[in-house]
Amino acid sequence: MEGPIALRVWGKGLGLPSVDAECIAAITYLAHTSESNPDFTYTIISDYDTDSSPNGDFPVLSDTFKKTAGYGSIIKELENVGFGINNSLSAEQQSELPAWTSFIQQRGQELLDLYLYASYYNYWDQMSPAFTKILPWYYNYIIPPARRAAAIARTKYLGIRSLDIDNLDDVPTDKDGRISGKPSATTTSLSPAQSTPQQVLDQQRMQKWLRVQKHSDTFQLYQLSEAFFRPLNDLLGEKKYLLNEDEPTSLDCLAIGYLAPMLLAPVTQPWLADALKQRFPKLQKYTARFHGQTFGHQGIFSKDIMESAPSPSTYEGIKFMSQSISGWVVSWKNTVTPDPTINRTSPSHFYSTPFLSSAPIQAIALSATVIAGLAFAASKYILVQSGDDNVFTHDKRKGTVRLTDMGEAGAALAAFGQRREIDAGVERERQRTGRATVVEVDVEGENGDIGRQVLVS
Amino acid sequence: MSKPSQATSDDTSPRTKPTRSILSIPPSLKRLFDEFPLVTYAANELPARSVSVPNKRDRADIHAFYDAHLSRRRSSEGGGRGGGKGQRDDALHAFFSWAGEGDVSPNVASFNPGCLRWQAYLVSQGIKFHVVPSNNHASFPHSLPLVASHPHAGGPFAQPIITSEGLGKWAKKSGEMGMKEDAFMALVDGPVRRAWLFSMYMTPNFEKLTVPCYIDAHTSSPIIRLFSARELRQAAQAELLKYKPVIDERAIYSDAEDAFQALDSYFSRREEGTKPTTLLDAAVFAYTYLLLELAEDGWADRRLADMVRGLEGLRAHKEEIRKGYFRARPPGVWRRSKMVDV
Repeated sequence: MEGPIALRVWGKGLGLPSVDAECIAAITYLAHTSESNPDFTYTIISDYDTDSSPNGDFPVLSDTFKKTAGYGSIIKELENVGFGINNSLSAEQQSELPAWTSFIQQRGQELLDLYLYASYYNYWDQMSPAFTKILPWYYNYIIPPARRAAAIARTKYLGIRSLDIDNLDDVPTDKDGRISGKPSATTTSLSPAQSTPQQVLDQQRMQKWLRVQKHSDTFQLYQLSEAFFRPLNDLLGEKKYLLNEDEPTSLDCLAIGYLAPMLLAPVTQPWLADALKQRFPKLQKYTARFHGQTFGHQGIFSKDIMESAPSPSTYEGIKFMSQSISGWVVSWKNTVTPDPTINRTSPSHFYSTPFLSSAPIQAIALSATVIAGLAFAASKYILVQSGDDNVFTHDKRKGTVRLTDMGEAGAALAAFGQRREIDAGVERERQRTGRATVVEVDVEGENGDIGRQVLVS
Repeated sequence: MSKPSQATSDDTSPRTKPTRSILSIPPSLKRLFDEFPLVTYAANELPARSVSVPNKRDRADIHAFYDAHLSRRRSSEGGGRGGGKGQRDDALHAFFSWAGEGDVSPNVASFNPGCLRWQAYLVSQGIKFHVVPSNNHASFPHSLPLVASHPHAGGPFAQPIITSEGLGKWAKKSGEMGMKEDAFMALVDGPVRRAWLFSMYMTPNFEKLTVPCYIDAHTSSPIIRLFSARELRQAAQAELLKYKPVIDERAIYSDAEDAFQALDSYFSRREEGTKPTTLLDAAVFAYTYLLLELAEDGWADRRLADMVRGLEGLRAHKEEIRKGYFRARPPGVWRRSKMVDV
């Protein structure tokens, strides 16, 4: 690595060095690495612009020439130049390290997604304000909702639905009793005297659904937290660190990155912190100790190496907003970062989202639908306004719709019906008087049209 | 019949225009729809027995395969359980998975690692089934594999339909997987799966291998093939984008390399006598079999296959399972296009 080493992370929040778990892990790892290798110097920059990151997210370790993103890649990169803290591991532990790293990342990320992003109150009360403090105003409309949507997409398969709406009284319902989304200020708890019977019924039905859903969700959350904490608890055993007795390793730094937000984030509904404290006290003590050892008052992490990225200019803000808006219409962002170490003969060896992807087709379909809808609405408006008697006017003269109102097919049917009427009339007359005559008369109707009336006598 | 011009004089009610908004349905259409009420039918039950049992010759093949498999296990175990002599001939579970037409026998590997994992696991547990070639849209949870159990086929399946989640729960209950195996399963479900998705869907492997297997068997119309292939690739890309906002190719392959090396050393260090019948073995076998079975020039992008080919422990593990526990044959699509050394 050449040049000054800089680690870019998301900014401080929630009482922690960063709002993102992997960033906390990277900061912890660098702090402990520089403690055991005194000639390792680095700076930490709290940044917000992820365009330069290979995987679109932080942490990113950058020197003069190269950028490395992701906790595992950062560790590998530093070990390649000789800085690391995994030296004291046995060969077997070294071989198990990727497995435990992947385990913590996968399950820990899932739990944090549910705890901090999917959970309605935790997100809007704590996470969103935390992001507001560290992002420029225009990024605040893009990044936190995108992170929340990604977290919800990742955990959708679990089917835990009651985290997003928690308080029974504040849940609004549509007319048919469906949950319409976030609690709104207008639909606070209705007292039975004020609401109609239908509304009371809907609320009861929805409350019952919510109760059942909360039961199953509580059980599933219990299973999830058990599946994450129990193996870590057993791995820790009576040791001081997860793998070693004396020294922290990269696994400890990664574990702290996920356990510290779970334990220490000051959220409105701390169900995960409660689970950790009540059921896994050993793990809780380990988290508190290691966190204090790194970031506490006498911690090895010196806060003054953290600097923030320069605040953006107005021009950058406008440019970013226009790029985002045009990004909704046509997706032009690259979704795949190619591997710079491989020489490729053909530049399009892999597929990224091409410049004109399916978004134009969708845009065309959407605009066609919108135009058709507008045309229909406009035609209705014109008809209503002009008020003339036409095909949509209810004809009060006869009390039934005339088949001729329905166009040529109607006229054909009308003629057929008239034919049958004439025949029936002829039959009746014949039965009555023995003979019948059929007279056709041209008649001018109200509208001015000439119709043919047939009289049977 | 009175003349029509007289009709209006009989109508004493004032002729008012009904007030309606822009969004109201035209009255003539409303009357038409009042005449024809819609009928909502009750929901259909699940098609529990709509699967056709394979013909006699295939059934005989399947039973011969299982008898050979079980006798091999019995001879190596020295005793073991009986082969279910009182069973009916056609009492076989149905395993819906991604397979080619005519690949009914359970020893023909599926080309989808998720289905192949369960196929290998069920065979190694000795559960008899026949394979029903299927696709995502045909199954109600929209994901394969799916097991439709036969009531007379014995085995541990009590419910008529078992999804892959149910199979997971059953494997965990009967499972011999400890804490360490759980951690290694996270490796298989994380970096290995992401590298497989990237290699099979985002590189030229997509046209050469993935499209013939998944798309061409279901439709022959070129327009539908084009759009289905596009949708499939976008679904795979969306799955990869769930992990990070931008797909970093270098990180994916580097993580996969670490993962394969960790699995390699795990299997090399394992004691000699342990039988590779856990879910972890089946899951790793699914990926290594599909990566190693194809000849080198069958791949358009060989990076992942070369990674596995270089690891001795994984090759030995795959051979051990293939010889002793699941005599798999390559998928029909690969054999027919002569991409495999048969």
